[in-house]
Amino acid sequence: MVSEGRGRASADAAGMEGAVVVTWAEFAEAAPDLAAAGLERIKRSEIVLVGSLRKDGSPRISPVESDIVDGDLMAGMMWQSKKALDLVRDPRCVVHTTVHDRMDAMGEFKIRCRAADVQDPKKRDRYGEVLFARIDWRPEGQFHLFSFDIESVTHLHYGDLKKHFTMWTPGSGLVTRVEDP
Amino acid sequence: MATWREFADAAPEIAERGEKRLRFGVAYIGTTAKDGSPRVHPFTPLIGGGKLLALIATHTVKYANLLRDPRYAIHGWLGESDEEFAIIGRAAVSDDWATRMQAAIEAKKINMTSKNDVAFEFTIESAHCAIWEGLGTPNIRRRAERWP
Repeated sequence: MVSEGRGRASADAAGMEGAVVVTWAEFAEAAPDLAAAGLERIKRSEIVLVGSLRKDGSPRISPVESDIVDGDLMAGMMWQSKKALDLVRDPRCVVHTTVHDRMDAMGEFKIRCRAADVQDPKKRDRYGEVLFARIDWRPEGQFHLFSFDIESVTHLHYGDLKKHFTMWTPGSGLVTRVEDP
Repeated sequence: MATWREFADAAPEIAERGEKRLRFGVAYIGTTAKDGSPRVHPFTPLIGGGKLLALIATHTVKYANLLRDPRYAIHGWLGESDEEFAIIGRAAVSDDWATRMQAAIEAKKINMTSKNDVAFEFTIESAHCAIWEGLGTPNIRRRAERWP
């Protein structure tokens, strides 16, 4: 369960009712094992899939690189790219880890989020530093930077011929379930 | 909306590259939830008989989402140089005998087993593929093609 006062209502540019969201650091404090497994997955592939909404409300999937920067899950995007404009228009999104094959034993992480448009120069600098430390490159000029405020995290994987389901939300904490696939 | 065959006839090079990205046994499908927010799910696309198909279990979130709102986005397995292939369009239940047989033939080729499922066909509104050239160099650039 998230500590008192950690969860907060998201500011929603699309005017929809705000969900309770937390930073990656707050999620990791509340559910350290799940967060560690998710982070390992994100770091291993260096790519995540971001699901966003087009102007007409239909879905879009975009691969992006993401990093944890001072406790926030972040992704930089090319200036005026379609996925970035999606997130500016409607911050509801899902960050999905890659799977290696149909039988991927590590399973999949689904992180439902609200994307926050990061304008703070200090945070943008820090993002550049973290990115440079990883790939020897940082964006120059204009670019979009989003931090992903987390509504829920779900981990699904298959093992022992069963489907293993773990979900964490700020309000309900960890819920686990094992089902026949 | 075009079937896979109609798309492949109209844009053979993009379709050929796309088929390679979709034949890994797993790709990603984007749907919309009841509240309109986006979802992403791994799934197994099957291309056969000129159709883009999938067997989708009826207890899954993507099944319910596609029945409610047939608009989808499919993103293929990332290739060399982060090659991307993505399509959008509409999904429709196509669970007739012939389509199920076609899907079963393709599923057998990759040793895919499935139960309690329904065959969907995905028709295509637009497709794009992209490749990054000069990765790891100052001359990096993205080369993209789109259909239609």
